Amino acid sequence: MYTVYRVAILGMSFSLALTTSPVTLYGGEDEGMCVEAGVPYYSFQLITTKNIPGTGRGRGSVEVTFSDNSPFGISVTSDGSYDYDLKLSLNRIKLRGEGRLVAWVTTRDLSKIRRIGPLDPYYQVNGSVDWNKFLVVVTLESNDGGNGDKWEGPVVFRGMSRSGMMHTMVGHGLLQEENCFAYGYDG
Amino acid sequence: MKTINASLLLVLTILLPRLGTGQEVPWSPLKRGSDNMDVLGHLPLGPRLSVADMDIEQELHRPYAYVSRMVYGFEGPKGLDIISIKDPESPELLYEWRIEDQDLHQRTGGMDVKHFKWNDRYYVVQSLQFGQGGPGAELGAVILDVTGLPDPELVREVARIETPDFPGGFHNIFIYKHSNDRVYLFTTASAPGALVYDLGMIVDGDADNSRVGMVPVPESPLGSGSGRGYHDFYVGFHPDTGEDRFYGGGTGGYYIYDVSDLETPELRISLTGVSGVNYGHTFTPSPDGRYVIAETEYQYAPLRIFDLQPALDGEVQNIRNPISAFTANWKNLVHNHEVRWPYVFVSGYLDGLQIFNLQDPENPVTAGFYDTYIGPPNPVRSSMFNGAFGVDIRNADGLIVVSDMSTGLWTFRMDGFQGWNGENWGVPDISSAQKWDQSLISRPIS
Amino acid sequence: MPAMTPSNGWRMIPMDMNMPMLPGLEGAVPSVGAFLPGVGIDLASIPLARPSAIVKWQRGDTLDLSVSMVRRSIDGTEMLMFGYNGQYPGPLLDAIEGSTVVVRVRNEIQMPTTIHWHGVRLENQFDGVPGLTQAPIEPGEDFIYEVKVPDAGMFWYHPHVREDVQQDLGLYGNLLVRSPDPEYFGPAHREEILVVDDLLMDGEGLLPWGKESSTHALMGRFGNVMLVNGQTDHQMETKTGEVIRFYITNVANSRTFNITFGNNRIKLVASDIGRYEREQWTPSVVIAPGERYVVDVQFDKPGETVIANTIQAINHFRGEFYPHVDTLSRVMVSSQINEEDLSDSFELLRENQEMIPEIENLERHFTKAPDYELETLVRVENLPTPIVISMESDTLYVPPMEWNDAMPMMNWLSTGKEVTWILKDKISGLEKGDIHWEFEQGDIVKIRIFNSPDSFHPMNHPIHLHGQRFLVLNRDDIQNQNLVWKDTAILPVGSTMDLLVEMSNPGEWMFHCHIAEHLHAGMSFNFTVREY
Repeated sequence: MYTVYRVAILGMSFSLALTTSPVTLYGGEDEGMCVEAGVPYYSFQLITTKNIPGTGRGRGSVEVTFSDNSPFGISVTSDGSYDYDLKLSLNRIKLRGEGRLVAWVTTRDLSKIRRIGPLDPYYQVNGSVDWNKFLVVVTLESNDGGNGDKWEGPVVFRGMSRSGMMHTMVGHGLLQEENCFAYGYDG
Repeated sequence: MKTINASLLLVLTILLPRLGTGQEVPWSPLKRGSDNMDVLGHLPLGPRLSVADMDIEQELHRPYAYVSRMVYGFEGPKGLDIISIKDPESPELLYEWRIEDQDLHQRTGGMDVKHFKWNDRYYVVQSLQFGQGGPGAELGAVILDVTGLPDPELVREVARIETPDFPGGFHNIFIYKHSNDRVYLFTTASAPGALVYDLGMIVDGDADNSRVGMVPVPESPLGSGSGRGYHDFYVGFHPDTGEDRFYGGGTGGYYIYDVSDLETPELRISLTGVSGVNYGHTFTPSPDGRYVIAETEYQYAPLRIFDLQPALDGEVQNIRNPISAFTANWKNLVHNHEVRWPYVFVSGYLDGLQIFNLQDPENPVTAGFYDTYIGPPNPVRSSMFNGAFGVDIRNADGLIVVSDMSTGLWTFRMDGFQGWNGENWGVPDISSAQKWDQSLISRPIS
Repeated sequence: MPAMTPSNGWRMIPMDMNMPMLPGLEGAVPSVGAFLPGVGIDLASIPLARPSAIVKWQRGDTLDLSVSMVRRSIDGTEMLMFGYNGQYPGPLLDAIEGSTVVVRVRNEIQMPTTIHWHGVRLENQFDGVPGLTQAPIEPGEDFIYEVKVPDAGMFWYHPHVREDVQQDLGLYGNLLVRSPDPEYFGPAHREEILVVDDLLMDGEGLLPWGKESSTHALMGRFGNVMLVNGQTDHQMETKTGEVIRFYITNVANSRTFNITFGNNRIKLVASDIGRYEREQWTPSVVIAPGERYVVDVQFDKPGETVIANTIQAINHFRGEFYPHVDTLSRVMVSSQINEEDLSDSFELLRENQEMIPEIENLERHFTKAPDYELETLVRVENLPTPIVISMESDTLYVPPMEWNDAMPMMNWLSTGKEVTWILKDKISGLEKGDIHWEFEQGDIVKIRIFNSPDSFHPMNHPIHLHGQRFLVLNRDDIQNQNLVWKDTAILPVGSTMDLLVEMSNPGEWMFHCHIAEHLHAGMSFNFTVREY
């Protein structure tokens, strides 16, 4: 009787699965959309270039929030670009020798570059940006360098704003998925 | 019962190892090549999955191989390597071109490369593809003047081709000396067709007007290529009709256009509705344009060989059924190929260099092989895309050169193949190798 | 592109035809019937709408407010719309804080209606929510509202029955409640009302709405014609140096505006229900549907200044942001200088002394754990397959704000039948109308709301509470440095917002998203404040 009972339950489950109408719930589920679960949506990683000894295992992140001096629910500039505060932090790095890490923010095509500033002894620095798509670049500069319009030293870490994933559908058509790995620097 | 069980066990012991293993391949890590293949030289080029397509110059006094460098795995340079094969047994790296701010350019890098000659100067075109999230998304190609080789100091960048209207770069390119004696670059782009550039105009300083046409992808049940219309192509002269013909693989299948007049390409033949083909890839004709070898880039897909005669005779416009197929290893797939009739030289990804003979087009026969890659399939991204990526043949002496995504540059000789001229095989002397100093059409002098 | 033919009363919506049509959607129309008002009525017989008049409310006044059909000409096209008292927008009701006015509403349109007094902490029975505080006012019927206005501020009134239709057709008007304190605001030469809106129309007139259910349920109905005070060609004149106080109200169904005043500096002084703790400069005014802002602007250079909606729109096909500017109004600044120079007072950023002790009294609640937590989600069912595939494919990035309708065809085809927007109580797990919170009058309640990006189509939401007022304490763990009492606040995608709600007003109230189509797709619930 036990065996018959189990088969009957299985049969009922199967027929229910066949008749349930296709309701799709989208929400509250971890869909793993290129970002770790629990990470604020617009924050992004800084990926090491492995160019500098001691940074090859390093990790970094940029926390992106709206500028806190906006009285509205969102901060934008007069031309409608988002105005963000950035909090950079790196960890798992052991830098030896001369030089200091300096953070920069740049437009996607490198046409505009702005210096955020040197990272503190905890490998952190805060900055801001009012470009809708941007890259954050951390370079190794000389102890008193990295003050110009563009970095001179090697790129140590870099990351792409989440908005950088917004891509043209010209290349892949409107119904074709572009995968996360096509964007950013995390391989 | 015991006797029956023992017999059954014996049968199973014999059969089980064979069940599901399929066809064995004749190469193995300890015997990588057929006896008729001679490895001349090998030049490793860096991290795995960092080498893409390649091209060699045909003239013996210019023994240079151009190798695209990319990041398909996790690391690698993005640009172009120029390698001397003056001594094929000792290929030597002469020059590296790298995109500036490499660390910020996202994704691939150098994909395809071709050289050309114009006004007595030699150039190489390196196609580039960078992700839209970083710099260079609009950059399609860079052109270097390589006339001064082997002196690397004399290599200089002369132009870049950008397509802001079609970001995503150029995946595959082909350079063709047209019957009008101009030299054209055909390129894939994120566009509903192949873009055509006049390279002479670019190097002569008139880049703004150099895009002279687009070979479209026709409407098909799968759409008209609002995405990347073509994936790869070949352009060659078709002597019987006197046409410059474009052979393109893309959305829906394969298409052959008359591109004698680049402003109005005309579709001649299509190969759509082919079972298992919804997006064509490498597509190359025999020198006389009768047969075509068509690749479809998915696992288990063979190279399909089609006979275009019914279409050439005007009986049909669309051909659906191949007449034969070639596969090196049914578990995998192959990538690019070069036709030197009756031989077809294939860069076969995980199965390395493969050569088959199409003397009987309905019965391709393996003529040689060398497994340039004996590593495992990729654990991430596409498992099949590793190994031999590109192949080229120097017609003058039959030198075979292969670029392998992980193991670098290889040079080979095959017994009995000491050069190629189509006429020696009863076909036109037409291949991907362009004749820069000759006109395609000889006109009588009156 | 094949010619679009009317089908079931629908016409193709205006679209950028450079963007390829999603395969499989050619000729598709929404799954609901098409509705346009006044079918069968001779348009010429409908009176022409009149500009909005100012009605000065005195205590004890009775105002007759009719809801009727009007004839409007917009961009050269005449069409039938709705109006309060035949005006478009409805009359500006100018009242004194603390006064009560009786409003006798007569419904002269062919559909039931109510009037909701947005932001006013009035008696619950007059809140205008059908099925909750009153029965709908049927065509030909009257309803009497007693509107007491306890707070100074700029409020507005609009229907709460098929807002997506009736409000869009012109049923909105402002209620300006003035403080008796003459120093409430700093000095300004004059005041101007800017009611910003948008309308979806083509050369034939208004595009139909959904009959049984809203269309544009995914993103809300964005219009393609901008209106200020009901006009496409709004203009004003000033003298050089004039300081104008603008009362801005967003009555659009879905569009959030980013309003700029040329190169003139903007001083933000107040929002929905009162003044900010401190006046502050702002480069622009971001205003979501339902919100109000009060700003002072000094026009210190002669010439023409354009008041514009200045955004970074999204081209989804090309994956790009691109600048887009819509002119809302033109201000002609004459070279004549205003004799009264208010420049010094304009430069001064005042502190709201009344607000300071109010806030201090509430500070002990600022850091407490939220009493309730909500999450915003969306559920879809039976959307056309190409839409589902496309939206499941294009998931790598969702912008914090939808400034424009970047997917008009897909949006149009999504109706309330296929789309359900959800407010979900994260602690109880209940959703939408199943949620019912209960409070005691006087409770100070902290509500955390998270706009989940892990949704089929996350989108910004203007969150609105009826009958109460709240402070936006912080966003994304960043404390708000300049508080103001509000009744509507934007919640961008991915953001978390903490509201501190003063449950001062007893009754049954609504909590909902103020995108009209989202509301009608389920994004609401009710809560009770019990009287002590």
